[in-house]
Amino acid sequence: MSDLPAILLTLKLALTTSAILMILGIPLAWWLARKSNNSFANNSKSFIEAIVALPLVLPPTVLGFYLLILFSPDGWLGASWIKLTGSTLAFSFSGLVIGSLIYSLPFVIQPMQATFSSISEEILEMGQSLGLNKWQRIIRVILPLSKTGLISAFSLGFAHTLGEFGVVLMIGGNIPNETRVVSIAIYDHVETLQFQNAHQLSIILIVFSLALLTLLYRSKNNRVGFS
Amino acid sequence: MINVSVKCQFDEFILDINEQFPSDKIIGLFGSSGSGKSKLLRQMLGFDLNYQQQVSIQFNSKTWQDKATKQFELTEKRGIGYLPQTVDLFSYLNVEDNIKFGTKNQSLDSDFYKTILLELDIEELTKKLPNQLSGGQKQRVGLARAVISAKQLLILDEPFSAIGEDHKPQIMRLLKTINKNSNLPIIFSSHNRYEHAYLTEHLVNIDNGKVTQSGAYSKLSTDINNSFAQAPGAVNHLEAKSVSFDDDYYVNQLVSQDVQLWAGFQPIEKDRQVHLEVRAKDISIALTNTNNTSILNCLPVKLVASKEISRHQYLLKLAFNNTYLIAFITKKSFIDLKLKDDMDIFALFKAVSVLPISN
Repeated sequence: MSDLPAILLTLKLALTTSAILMILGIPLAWWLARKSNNSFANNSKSFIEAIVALPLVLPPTVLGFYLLILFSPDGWLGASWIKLTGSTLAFSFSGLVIGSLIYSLPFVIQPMQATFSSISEEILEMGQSLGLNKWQRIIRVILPLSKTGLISAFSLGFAHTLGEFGVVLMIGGNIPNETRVVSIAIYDHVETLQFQNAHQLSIILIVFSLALLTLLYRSKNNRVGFS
Repeated sequence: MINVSVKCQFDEFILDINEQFPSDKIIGLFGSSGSGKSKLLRQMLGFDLNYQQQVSIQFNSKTWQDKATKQFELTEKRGIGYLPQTVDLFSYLNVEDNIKFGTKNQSLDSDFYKTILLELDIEELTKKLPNQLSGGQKQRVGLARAVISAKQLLILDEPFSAIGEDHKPQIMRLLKTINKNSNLPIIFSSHNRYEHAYLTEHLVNIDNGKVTQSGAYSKLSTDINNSFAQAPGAVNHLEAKSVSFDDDYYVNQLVSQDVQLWAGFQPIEKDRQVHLEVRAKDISIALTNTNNTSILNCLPVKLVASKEISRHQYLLKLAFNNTYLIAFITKKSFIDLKLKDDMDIFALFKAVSVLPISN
């Protein structure tokens, strides 16, 4: 199948993006969930929450437009990237990853924040009184209690990156093996009236996303016996 | 010795405590809800640091916290077994793993572990998850976990609030045994006077964030000039020995300092030490030893002191050989009977108003 590289590239992008978002997102989500409620902290917290949620409401073209400017060799980020790596950010896989990180941010942060908020201060105090230091509390109390939430954060970030289109179109273009992801390939097929290929890819994407979401909701529903 | 000196400002509540507790005894915090008992216990654990103004806590020779010199021993290093007011079990672990959570396997004495499970009646529950337990079972599991993990001190916040009366005596007995055998100081809070009458050796009475009285329980509980003894719910305790259980009448026969007593309806084994609890308002006074009443218990006592505590009531302090009892009577009875200090009189109380706890 001629579209295999597009599928592999999409999976690579989704995996990279959601993995990086998990690493960067956990401390941020924890901070948002645990921020004490004095008024200054509340203001800064609300502002950060709004920034995290912004990609939910903005058209991807707006994001893509500004990223493109930022990525250009004259742009601040683009220029330093060229200095560091010797290649441009715009129309590259690395550029796509950065775009996806922003685009999928709320889908990873919000479920993590919700799960961290549900962990009571008392259960952490209990762990502490039972002799657990900071790291042991993370491993033995926080992780088991937020397992389901972390899995759903990862899956949502992954699934959402799979379906990304607008941002990619703006900053990635359609370069095989570099930026030609499934959604772009479908668009391309439709434009060139290759409906057969468009069907194939679309159905693959539908089936895969449906399976992933079913698994996700099943693990959520099973949680009843767990917590 | 445990030295606690804390001053904390919570939103609308000030906790201001300056106390010294003996570190080998069972210390009971008494006070109504909202008086600051839990907040004081939390200070000893090293919690609520944001509210502290001045704090110094010494546990024996160790400094747990001194705000002035910025010394702070982390909670996890204090070796405190802690049972909070609402038990928090780890939902993802079964009962056994919850109980052993704070112990490294090699340091747990398996005989001790088994005894605890047995006495708390949870040995059948070890493989269950917390959401399969009732409220009382959760509290007993939390208690087991606290007892198993306590190395220096056991802190129990309202430990019997969800525990049924059927389990309570043996659990209180267990705590007493642990305190004596393992030399483990216990601090518990409760607003239930019966629990204090059985367990407490050093009483701390707290009201509105301040200590109103503290000292040996036996002294404070019979001090009629003291608000703890003057409260309507005041409870007496009396040590006795079981003689037999009368099957015909379904009542226990006991003896205390050569005087025969009748108490309760649950059979107690022969020759056991029994701790009897009688409320001060359930004791009546008679000038002669009468047996033409339905009241079965009649102790010869000496009136030591009396105090008019309200417009209609007197509180009496009575000596029964070397133990003291207190009794509320009406002003009318006090005057009609012409009661005076040093009079030999009789203290009467019904067998059904006695709560016996066998040791």
